[in-house]
Amino acid sequence: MLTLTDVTLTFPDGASRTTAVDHASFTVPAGTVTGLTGPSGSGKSSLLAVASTLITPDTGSVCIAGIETAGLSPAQTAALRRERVGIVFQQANLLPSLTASEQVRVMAELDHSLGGTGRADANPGTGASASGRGRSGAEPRAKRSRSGHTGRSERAARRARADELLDLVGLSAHRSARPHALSGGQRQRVNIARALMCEPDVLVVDEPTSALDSARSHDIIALVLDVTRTLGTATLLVTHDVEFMPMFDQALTMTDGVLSDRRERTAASPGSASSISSA
Amino acid sequence: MFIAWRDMRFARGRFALITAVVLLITLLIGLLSGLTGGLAQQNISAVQALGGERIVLAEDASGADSEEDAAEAGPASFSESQLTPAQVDAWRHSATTGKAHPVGITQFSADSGDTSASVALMGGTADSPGSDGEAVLSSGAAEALGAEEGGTLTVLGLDLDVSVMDSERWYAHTPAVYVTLEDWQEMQRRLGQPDAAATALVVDSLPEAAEAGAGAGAGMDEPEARTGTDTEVSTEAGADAAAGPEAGAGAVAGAVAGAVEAEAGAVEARASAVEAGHPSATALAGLEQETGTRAVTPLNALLAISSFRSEIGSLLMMAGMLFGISALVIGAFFTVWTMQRQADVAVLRALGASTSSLLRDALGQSLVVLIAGVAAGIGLTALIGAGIEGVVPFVVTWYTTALPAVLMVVLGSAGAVFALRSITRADPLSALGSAR
Repeated sequence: MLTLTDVTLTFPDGASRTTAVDHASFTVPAGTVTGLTGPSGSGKSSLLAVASTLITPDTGSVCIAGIETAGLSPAQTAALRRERVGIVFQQANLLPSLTASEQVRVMAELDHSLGGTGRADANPGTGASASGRGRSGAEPRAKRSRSGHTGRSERAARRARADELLDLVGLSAHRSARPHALSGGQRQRVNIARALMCEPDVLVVDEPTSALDSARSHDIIALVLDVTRTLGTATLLVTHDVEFMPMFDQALTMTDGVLSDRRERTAASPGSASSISSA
Repeated sequence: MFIAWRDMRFARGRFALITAVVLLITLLIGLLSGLTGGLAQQNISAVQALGGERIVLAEDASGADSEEDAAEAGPASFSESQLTPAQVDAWRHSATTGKAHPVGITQFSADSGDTSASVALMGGTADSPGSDGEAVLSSGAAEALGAEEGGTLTVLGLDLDVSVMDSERWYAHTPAVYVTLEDWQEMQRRLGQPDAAATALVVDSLPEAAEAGAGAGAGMDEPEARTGTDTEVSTEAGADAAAGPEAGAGAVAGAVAGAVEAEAGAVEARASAVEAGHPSATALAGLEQETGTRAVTPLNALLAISSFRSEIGSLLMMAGMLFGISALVIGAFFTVWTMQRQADVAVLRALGASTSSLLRDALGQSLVVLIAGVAAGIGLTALIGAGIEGVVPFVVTWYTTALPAVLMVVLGSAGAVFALRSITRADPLSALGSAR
């Protein structure tokens, strides 16, 4: 779950300050997608940066999977982001020298962690043993020894998990391809798979369709919805395409830094216009 | 080094270029080190082989108005040192010193058949022949003169029977020829210097060493009575000399860099020792003053070779500057390389990568490039050195290969660390919404 409470963010603007986010509060439950839209300059990206702990708000609180981020050190914040938050960038931001499989597991390899607990219900057949999620603050998950047989088996487990995720996003045939050999849509899928490697509690998606055509855009949005339901993440998706908003469980509109509209889709008739109600 | 290895495999050309630059810089440093060692060997190897605890040289106090000026006179020099019989006797019969034996060193032209060459005539050393009328040529002298075992060498009308030693011995860029002290003195007489008893005195031991069990008081030692053990006295550079001048040349070149500075304080140090009432130092200083001589350590004696003193400073300065330039160049390469990766680093930091993991990865990559380039450069240096060793003065030892290699890796790593500090400043926020 992702919870923002009374979050305000300002930036210096000459002698004064500009308010990018003005007393924003909302909750994204686990297993649901919250869409955030608004005109350019409305503060969507700033709100996304706060939600993903890339920037600390001036006031208010950000709570990720029950962990309050206020007061965390930069190292603790980075650890929280590494283990609890998946970020899907607007541009795929893939490293040119890594294959698709290596892109997906790059953080796990850098950090020498398996990346997540391998929730049995959400990820059948991962073969990964549960390491137990720590619920006390931003403590990193337990890391295994890097030496000997255990190290080799960990590497094999990371490879296996990356392959599963590439399968999930429909790129199992391209696991050895480097970015220059992938289309825009394929790179965005790798981007999504990479964000899921650590089995995040929160998935932050920044305008994933901005560089894609209509058909691929629908595919990507459908994929995000699918992985959210499958893996039970709390997904916050920023988009300027209002046509997708009815597909989300919660739709937020931002104008001049203020959340001006909030709609939730009811359970009665998912996806239909009549099932969307204002908060 | 997950990203590092893959980066290097993916961009082979780029890393090959950086490695090639490191290789070339290392080659340059290696060749300069070898040349420095070779030139040093061609200056000092004969003096190194003298051994002893002290080398006594005549002090050039001409023009000094007082004892203090005389004491503070410029460094003693082999080329200007000429000991009289009285000076030699004073040292040899003094209770201050143990064994002391005179040696003569003169650069002159020698003839062997139709071939003439400049040689350094060394009289009265441990390598000198047993009887008058003989000459022992170092291998360099034999080659320069085209002389062979059993041939004849003529110096100032004096015919000498030739034998050839296996070793290279050089003094001030001239190959050494060893004669008896008497033959050397005869040559000095023919040059119009009848009072020249020796160029220097080699003091084998000082009183402390004598008391420790050398068992010798002051006394005369005929050159014939000296055995190989006389040159095995442990001295500052004696260990190197015993191991062979080649092995020690590079090390001595480095040690002399410090000795150049120490020389400036040598007079002060002696004065301090005298003030402190050290009996040996007091007696030694008294003998120096009394005889108008200066007793220097074997290491400082190398500075008494004018050509060595003037060359080594320039060569070491060149080597030092080259090391500094290397660090800058390698640091500049790594800086540009890191800047090119700035966007990737920002993405990784946005994904939650710790600074330590990023630094570990990047530094590991730098070390691989450094070690590969330095190893290849030193290997090439050794190969080239082995080929040119007989043609130009060049020494291939661990001082001229392994030591520069280690320094290169250390300095290159310092340059890389400096360049990598930008990794800590990569802004993860820039990964959001960035077009790459």
